[in-house]
Amino acid sequence: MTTAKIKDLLLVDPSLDEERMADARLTVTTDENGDIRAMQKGLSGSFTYEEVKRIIETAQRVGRDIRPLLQSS
Amino acid sequence: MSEEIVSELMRAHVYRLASTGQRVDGRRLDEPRKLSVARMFVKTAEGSARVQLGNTDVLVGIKMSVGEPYPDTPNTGVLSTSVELIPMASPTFEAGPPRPDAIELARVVDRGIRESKMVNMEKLCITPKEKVWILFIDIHVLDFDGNLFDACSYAAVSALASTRSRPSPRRSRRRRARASATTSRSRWSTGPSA
Repeated sequence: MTTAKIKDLLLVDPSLDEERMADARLTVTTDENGDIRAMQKGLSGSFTYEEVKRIIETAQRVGRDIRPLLQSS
Repeated sequence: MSEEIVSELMRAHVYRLASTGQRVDGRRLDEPRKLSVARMFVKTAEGSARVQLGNTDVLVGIKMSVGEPYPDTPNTGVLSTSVELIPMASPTFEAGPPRPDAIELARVVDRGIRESKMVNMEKLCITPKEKVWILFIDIHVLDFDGNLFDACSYAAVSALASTRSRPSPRRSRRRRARASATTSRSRWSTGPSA
């Protein structure tokens, strides 16, 4: 799951405009246990420790929600 | 991907909304867009999926073929991920060799699949040092409306989950020939009336 940062705000799953004006971007890949398998940070901005923790928690929640969709549809 | 400039008005609008916890499309800040998945979208591929994340539209095909393993990993199969950003998907995409943004995208998707160990690479080995399965993950972006990282990852995972290997390459080629023969016949039969 990808989160974009615009100034001091975090936006999950950025749309085209949000992505284009983002200062930083963080993609977190989790598995079915919610464990982190990969991460990629992009663009020139930065994240604080607290922000990274929040993004990971959101990624785990979103991952739980969408996983059934990917396996059977 | 991000070369196009966003107007100052749009910037101010997006930021003002976001600082009150809202977004232009009505979502909350921590809410992803609606995801829809159609697996086995391409019948001739070993596996495929079409994923729509909001208006972002991605099609992934999985192709399996037999080849030689890399010398440093003689007992594991080969995984190869590529992304096509065709001009049809966005005015900012141009034809030609993949640009850095497409390469980064393919690598992020590839790493997610590899590191999750969702594909057992050892089981793709047929004869060590000689023959292994090569898995091609071909990602085609049909429409770009932001966040290709997630759309492509979801599509690749879904396509892999739908992948079944064919009994033998020769048989599948014959089957494909039969399939195309059927389509051309049906086109002929509808031709005169249309």
